Amino acid sequence: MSVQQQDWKPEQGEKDAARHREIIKEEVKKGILDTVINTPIINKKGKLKVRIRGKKDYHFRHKDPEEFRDVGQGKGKKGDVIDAQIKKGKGPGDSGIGHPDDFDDAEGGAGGEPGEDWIETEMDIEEIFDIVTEEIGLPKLKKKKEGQIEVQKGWKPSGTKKTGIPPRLKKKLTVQQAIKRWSGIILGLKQMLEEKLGKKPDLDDQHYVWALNSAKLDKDKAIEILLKIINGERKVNKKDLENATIILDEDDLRYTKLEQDIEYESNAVISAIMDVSGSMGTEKKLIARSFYWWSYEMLKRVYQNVEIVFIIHHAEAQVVSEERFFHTVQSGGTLCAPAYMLTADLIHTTYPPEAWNIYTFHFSDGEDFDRKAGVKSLKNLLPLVNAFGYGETLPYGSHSLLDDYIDAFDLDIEEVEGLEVYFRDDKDTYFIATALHDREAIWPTIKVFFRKDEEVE
Amino acid sequence: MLSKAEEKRLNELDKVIVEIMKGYGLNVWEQKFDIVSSAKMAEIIAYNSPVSYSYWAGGKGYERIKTIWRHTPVRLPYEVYFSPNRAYLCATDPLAVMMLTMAHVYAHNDFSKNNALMKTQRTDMTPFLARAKKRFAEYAQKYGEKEVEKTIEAARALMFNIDPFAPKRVSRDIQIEKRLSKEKKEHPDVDKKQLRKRLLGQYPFEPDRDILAFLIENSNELEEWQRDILHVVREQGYHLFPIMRTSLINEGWCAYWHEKVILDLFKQKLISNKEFDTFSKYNAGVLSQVRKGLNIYLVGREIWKEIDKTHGREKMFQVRGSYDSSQFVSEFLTDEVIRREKLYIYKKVDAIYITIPLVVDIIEETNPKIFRHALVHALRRYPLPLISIISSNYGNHRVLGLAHHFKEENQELDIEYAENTLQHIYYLWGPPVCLETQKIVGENETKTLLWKYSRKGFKQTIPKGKQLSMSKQLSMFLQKNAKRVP
Repeated sequence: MSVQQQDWKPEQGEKDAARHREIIKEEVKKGILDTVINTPIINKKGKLKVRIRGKKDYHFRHKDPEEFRDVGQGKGKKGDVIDAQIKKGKGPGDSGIGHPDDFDDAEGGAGGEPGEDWIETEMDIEEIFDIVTEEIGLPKLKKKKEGQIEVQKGWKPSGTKKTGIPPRLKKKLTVQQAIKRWSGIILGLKQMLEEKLGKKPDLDDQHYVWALNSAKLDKDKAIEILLKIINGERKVNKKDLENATIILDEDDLRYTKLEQDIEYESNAVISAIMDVSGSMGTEKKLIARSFYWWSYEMLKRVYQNVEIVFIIHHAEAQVVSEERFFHTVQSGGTLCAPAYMLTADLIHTTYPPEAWNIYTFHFSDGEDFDRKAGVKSLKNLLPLVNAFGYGETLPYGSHSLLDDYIDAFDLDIEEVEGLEVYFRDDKDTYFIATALHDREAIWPTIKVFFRKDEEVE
Repeated sequence: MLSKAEEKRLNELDKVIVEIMKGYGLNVWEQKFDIVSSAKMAEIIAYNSPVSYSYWAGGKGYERIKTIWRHTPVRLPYEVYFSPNRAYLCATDPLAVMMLTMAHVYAHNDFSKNNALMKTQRTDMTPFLARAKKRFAEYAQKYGEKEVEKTIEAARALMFNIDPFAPKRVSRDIQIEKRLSKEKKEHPDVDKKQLRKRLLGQYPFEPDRDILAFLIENSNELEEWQRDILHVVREQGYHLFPIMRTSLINEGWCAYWHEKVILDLFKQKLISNKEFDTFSKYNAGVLSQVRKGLNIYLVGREIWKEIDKTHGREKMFQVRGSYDSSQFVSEFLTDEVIRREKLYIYKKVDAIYITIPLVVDIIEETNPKIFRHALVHALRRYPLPLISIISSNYGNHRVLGLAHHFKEENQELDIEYAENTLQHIYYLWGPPVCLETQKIVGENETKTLLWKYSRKGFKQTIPKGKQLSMSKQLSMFLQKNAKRVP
């Protein structure tokens, strides 16, 4: 029989794929947060499904040419447009004709799916927050004369532990730990040598360090080398001897351990406004929700006593539960003014500025049927709040509402992490705005909206 | 899961297919087909072999293929053939697709058995890799998984830094002995020990493209097990190279024959109308036009048809015996085929639509002569930038000096990829590693750069004036040996 059915299982595919995911996770932990494309699909177990770019398989290759050319087939004459895409990043990243990567990806089928180089993996939410919360905080936080209450805030160092993330590595302590360990090893070597020689060896400690290095930490080999030196069979270059250093082992690493830092802070309230009108498409809503979801979860971890008011609006505005805010689907026309007025009302009735730090964030796709009313009510709201952040989730194109705000509030522009940030920061107004063309703008936006002040009072 | 009857039927068809093929004059080895699950199939494709040692990049590919398949309800048939006689069918494919694949595989089999370039492949690659898998697993246990992983990754980064055009490699020691006895003849009173040491310092005597072989031979850093890993990966490189070099001519050959064979089966009423419909649907998928890129199945088949029409069957077998893809296209992709198949060159240009920045693909050229020239050039190019080892004592003792064949390619290297690949070489070599390349600074004007990887990490410098530039040494050598360049 030449054709036979087999019940063979894949042999190492799963294991190697798991190893690849593990490598990627290590890299994410090292702080390459940009590799986490912001697609939070949360399942209930406290795990986060994240899309991560795969680890690259390096080899020598040519730089992508300035002018990309390839061959193709089908109707058309010289000068005809066969395809157009919205430009992303630095330029075409595709590979040209006969590129070796075509071979790497060859799957035997005609054409073959281009397929982006990403994988989906699960990470522990806390693992991620542990990394990101370090970087964010509420800007323009003030001490309020009235209504000051005790709140728990952030984390503070308390002792050390053996595992952690690189920014928290305690270098000095780690080296001390290594020295301690090496002294032990050297002492052992001295005793072994003494036994072999029948007398105390006449070598200084640096010889032992050097020998261990040469023997790649193999103690028996080190002894052999040292014996040769004593017998004059081997000479050590003075420079090599001086340059020999102790080598750190994973066991030596010491990290800062954090614990809840109880401080006395003013209380803060955030009004999170989101446009849920018909024109907010799925992708736009996803960007807005991702932004809020990440910031909400982070702020909860940094400030234990932050209150968040969720407001959704189309032509009307209303306060809703967290559950509805993150899951509701609505439609209808768009007015911004009602949402700003509702926030102002809440401030007057429930959160007086004398007692509260007030933050308002608004995400919209830039549509407003009555822009004048919107600008007017926002002008009334601004003096009441510590900070106002506006995110416009518009796929590439002209800014709509954002342009009006730039004019009306005289916003400056600066570029932060590849993102155009519009802002005004003076005595009465802290206004910050960005346009989020795609998901990759979510994390940079969070970072600029929640930029901690340099000096904390 | 196939029923017993279906399995039996495929076995009967197998015999018929072989007879039809032989009747046409194809010359095949005995062939075996294993029907496997789609997960196993994904693994075979990802590792490019029915059996392989374990490494993370294979897992990455495996996961990627499985993901793509999950999102592709009707996917194209996958033919997986490994020389000389292993092939795999996917259990979830319709029966008609399996027949297509079988006919296709037999044509691959014929091509592998008879094409001159493919004959350089070792025929025991599968058992060779099965043994390697076992050894590598032992190494991981004995010397640590991390070290083995690092070595495999470094070796695979250099998989195609081999020299497939070089005549048989002469080992370093033989080369040195030859020079030694020559010098000894000319200067009888020379100190042999001293001379050998000097010659060793001058090695390689000629620029060496086979980086893997050079490291196996000359690195003081490698353990025996690491040399073994490098050796296995190098064998894989040599094995895959002819496949890359012939993919268009080979797939075209198979598309040409699988269509013919299935049609014959249909004519002989060995497959039903319904099955023939299914076959036609899938076959149309395999042979569909691609707007951006080249469908080698379709274009390859068209060229073969043209040869059959104008030169006859006899010529087809002659071409199958000795051509690679670039020669095939250069000689037989006629203006008429290019026009009929509407082949073109397109380019990407930046554009702005209202305020939206776009990248637009525009047809740049439909002129057959220019098209053919560009395609031949792309097919002839070595898959990776050419890089040669020039010196094992570049400037300082045991510093490894490499040079990029910039003049032949006129294309800069990707610095991120170069940095990481140099780090891999540094790991395998020990002392610092330098690479000389060029940066384009103006029209016909370049600047020489030196990229160095050492204990301190990656550094870009400009080579010192005193030293004879490695690029110069390389071009001098290449001029002398002009015929060796592919």
